[in-house]
Amino acid sequence: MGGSIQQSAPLPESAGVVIIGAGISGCSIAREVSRYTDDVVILDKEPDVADETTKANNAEVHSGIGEKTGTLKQKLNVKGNRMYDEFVEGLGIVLKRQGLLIVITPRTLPDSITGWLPKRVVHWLLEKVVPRLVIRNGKKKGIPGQTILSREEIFEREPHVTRNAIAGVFDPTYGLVSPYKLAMALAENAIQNGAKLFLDTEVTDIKVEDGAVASVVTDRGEIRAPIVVNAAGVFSDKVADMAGAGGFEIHPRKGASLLFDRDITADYVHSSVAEFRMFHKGHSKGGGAMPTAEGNLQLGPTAIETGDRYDTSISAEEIEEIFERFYYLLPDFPRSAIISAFSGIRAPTAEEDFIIEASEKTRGFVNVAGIQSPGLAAAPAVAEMVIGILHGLGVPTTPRADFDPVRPTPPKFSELTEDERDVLIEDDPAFGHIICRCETVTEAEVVSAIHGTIPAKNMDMVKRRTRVGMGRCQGGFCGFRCAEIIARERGIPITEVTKDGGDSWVFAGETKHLLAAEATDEAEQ
Amino acid sequence: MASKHEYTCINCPMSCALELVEENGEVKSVTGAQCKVGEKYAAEEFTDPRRVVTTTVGVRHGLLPLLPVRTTTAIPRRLILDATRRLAEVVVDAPVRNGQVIVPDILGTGVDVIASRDLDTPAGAGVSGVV
Amino acid sequence: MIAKKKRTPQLAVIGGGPAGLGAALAASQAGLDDIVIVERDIELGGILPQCIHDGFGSKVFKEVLTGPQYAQRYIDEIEKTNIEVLLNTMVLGISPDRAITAVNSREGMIRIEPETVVLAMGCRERSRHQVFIPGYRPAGVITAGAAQRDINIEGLMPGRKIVILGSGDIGLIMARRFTLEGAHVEGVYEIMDHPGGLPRNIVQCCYDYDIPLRLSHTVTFIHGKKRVEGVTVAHVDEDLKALKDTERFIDCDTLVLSVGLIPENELSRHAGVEIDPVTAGPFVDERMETTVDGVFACGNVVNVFDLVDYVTRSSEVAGRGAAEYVLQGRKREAPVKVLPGRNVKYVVPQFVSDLGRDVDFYFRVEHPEKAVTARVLAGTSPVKSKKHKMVHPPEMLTASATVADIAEAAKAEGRKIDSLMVEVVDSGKQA
Repeated sequence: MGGSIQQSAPLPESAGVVIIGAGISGCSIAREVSRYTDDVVILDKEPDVADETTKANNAEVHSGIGEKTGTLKQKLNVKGNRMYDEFVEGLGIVLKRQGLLIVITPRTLPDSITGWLPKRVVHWLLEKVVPRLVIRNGKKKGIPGQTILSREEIFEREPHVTRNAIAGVFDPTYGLVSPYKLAMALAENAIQNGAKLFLDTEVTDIKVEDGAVASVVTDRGEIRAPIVVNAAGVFSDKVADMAGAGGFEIHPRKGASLLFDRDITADYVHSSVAEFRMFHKGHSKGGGAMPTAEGNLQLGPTAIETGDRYDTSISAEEIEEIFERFYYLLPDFPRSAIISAFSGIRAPTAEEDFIIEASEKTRGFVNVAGIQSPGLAAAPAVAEMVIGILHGLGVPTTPRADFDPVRPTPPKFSELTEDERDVLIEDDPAFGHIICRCETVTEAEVVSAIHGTIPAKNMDMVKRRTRVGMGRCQGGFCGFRCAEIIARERGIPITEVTKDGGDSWVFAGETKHLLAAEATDEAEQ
Repeated sequence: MASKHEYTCINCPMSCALELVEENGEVKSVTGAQCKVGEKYAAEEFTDPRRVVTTTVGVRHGLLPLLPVRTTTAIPRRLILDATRRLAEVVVDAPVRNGQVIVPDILGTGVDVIASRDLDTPAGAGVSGVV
Repeated sequence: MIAKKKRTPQLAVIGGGPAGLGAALAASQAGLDDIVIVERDIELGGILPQCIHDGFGSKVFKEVLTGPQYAQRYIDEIEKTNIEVLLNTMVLGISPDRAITAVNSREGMIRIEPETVVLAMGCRERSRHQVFIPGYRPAGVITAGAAQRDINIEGLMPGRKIVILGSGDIGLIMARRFTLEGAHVEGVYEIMDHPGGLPRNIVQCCYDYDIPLRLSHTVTFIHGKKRVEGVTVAHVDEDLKALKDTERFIDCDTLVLSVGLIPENELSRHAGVEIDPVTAGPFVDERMETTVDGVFACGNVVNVFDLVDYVTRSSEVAGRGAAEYVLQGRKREAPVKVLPGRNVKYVVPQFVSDLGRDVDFYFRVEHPEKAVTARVLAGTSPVKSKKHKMVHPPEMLTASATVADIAEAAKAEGRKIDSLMVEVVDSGKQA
């Protein structure tokens, strides 16, 4: 009982199920599979779980209202949303169901419609007709509980919404959850129940024999496996091609969001707020203003096609676009309260829908690809669908008696009472040493993250687990201390500490070394 | 042959643009200064510009790994990089007292390099150390 | 329920930098004998221990000291008193009735219920996202103060090839510091058309080392997915918008940001103190008392001073004010507003509670001007004026008004003074 996160141990020779990709899809599937068997291996080429698309996801557990009827993603979104409370139970993850306020404004209908109609008619359409269309659409898609709001009701709920608002629809099942925290919790629970996770491990080939999956080749060794789940996100087309199970292409689409100071924007909106734009061009739902689970306000995301699967750059135009889009909806938005921006790459296919199926070309190979939005909301339903497919491929159908769905979570100092804090500090004085002032994170929590089930190896991994560096000073106060603790706990020189793996070193060396190096150069000349 | 040199005076916010005329190394005139200090500054900048040098040296057994030091007075500007290179090799032992001479007569300038603060060992630290 | 000792000093000072030290000492000299300083770092001094360059103390000590030397003067004095110093202790919160919650490893959770509080938390640096630098978010983007701490306290070099954005004093100082430690500083880039720091620093930190200072420039893109690989810089127009056809790539591994300081008032807000949006610090009166009775503030938490000497002066006013509050109590009268007049961006203090005292003003101008006179007006009567050959925003100015000045103005106007103003006018046009 109890699996492991293997830092440098060799890969096992074989496994019952190999899951390629430890994003929200891979981790959801992994936990689901671990209910039935502990013979499951998860691989990811990045240093951490959820280290690509998922970590930049903007946390929306959509209701399904925005997805095209008849698509797989829409079906799984609605189902997933319903399953979410049970899905996160026991994981120690906060799911906020604060709902989505869809605001109808003069911009809701495009000029092509409103341009030639009399103003009164346009207003009537926007006030009376559009909301009912939204409700009817929602009912058709199986979305419960939607209600129409009048202007006054909107302002009562959300006083900062533009006075241009005409009417609104409130979508109560919509929620917010931390995507990487959830993925990590799912992975940890899977590991707790016997799954094995190998990070910094890149799949380079998949061997197929007699039309069936035989083994997965990585840059650290080979694993024989009869069942392989391809949840490789932005690279899922490449992985599928390795197994001869391809036939689709991923079109990377990046998106940026902005984060704001919690103290200034904490109560700016109570539910997520978005402006409804009918027949709007583009493949994104338009985003909104979201009060995240941590309490920071988030604006975004954008949607920009990109050819580079690692292009997470944010342009000045994108930032302006976000402000311009939301400035109309929330005119008094405190722009200067910005503390951070982040960006990620979605993994859509040309068909703009999920591909979740056992490959017909290669037996035992299951594609879970094209997972763009609503991948987070659909995760429980995706996992359920995949385990169904896996049962059909031979994974045991009887749940394990020894499966433990409860993941133990380390104490969070910032959320404890004074007495609880005293108890912790008496036992471990490192709980009395605050490392991150802005988020009130203690040294003990940083140490715990470094030695956790999925050990934090670099600064960003510590950040995602503890929130160190996510506050208003953005690491100005705590950056050095965090690096120092990582170096100490991992027994490495501080010059080997990185921000997020690879070549992202933080310190070039000790202060006198550059001068000494110069002196040596000169002496040698 | 007369030559002109331009300096920005650093003594007060006026930051006067000074023009110094010299012939064969001899200062002939300084114009642009609105006070005597500026005239003197330009002449000194031309003949022998001097700067106070501040840097750090290594410390063993101290509360911190580095000790800030300073030259007591200004030394010739052309010696700054040599001085810092020389000081890059210096390591002292804690405890150190504020004003303690770390390197006397640096590079033969007649100017001492002194400690800028007290630095105790962790055990000996008082109010300026760990409680 | 764990029984905990509660501290009930006469005065709690939050922050052990020059502001906190000055306030504690002044309060002690004014008669308080039960004072606690709460400091989160491992030693006293605040930002000074890392400011190893000289330039401090020319007004207070009539000597030019380094930051550590300046701090040492106050630390030596503190050691002669019975002031309690809590180091490595973080204040977590402060209620409007001045109850302080703090924590450290030795005592665990700490409760302090002082008669008065002096807020002296200083300021933090503006980060990259607050100035919107597009591009990637690699390792190697660091604020100048954090770089200074790494180099001067921890002995670590943040990088080898440096570009500095922002020509404020801290950016200029770091241009020299990096160079003296053997790094290569490619240039200092400043978005405005005038430098942000003092001319003496431009000479001593840029000219001396042939480091170019490029005005009207900004960084438009940060390259590098894991570590900074370079930056794109561009010229900006009068509206500070980047001109795309002037873009130029610079190879570097570190971008140092010196783009402003923000007073750190999270705790002040907890305490219910009203914050002035122009200074980003608390509204204070002539004794540095905030809008909450018994809560004083001094130093950079009130507004960013450029001279530590002024920080010290403001802290002594606050310390004496706190002592007076404890020993004599005080009823504040209806506040008299202090208004920023012509070419004055802000004045501290922003109000006066008692016209029966001398007042020291600290202010900054909106734009540079030559040959001006700075005037203090009580009501409409000028009471003090001082000529300046030159004024500009980076350099803070001072003025004062005595009790006698104000009384005289009241007499001249035949009524109580209900407002004060600090203005900057053309010397030629002055009546």
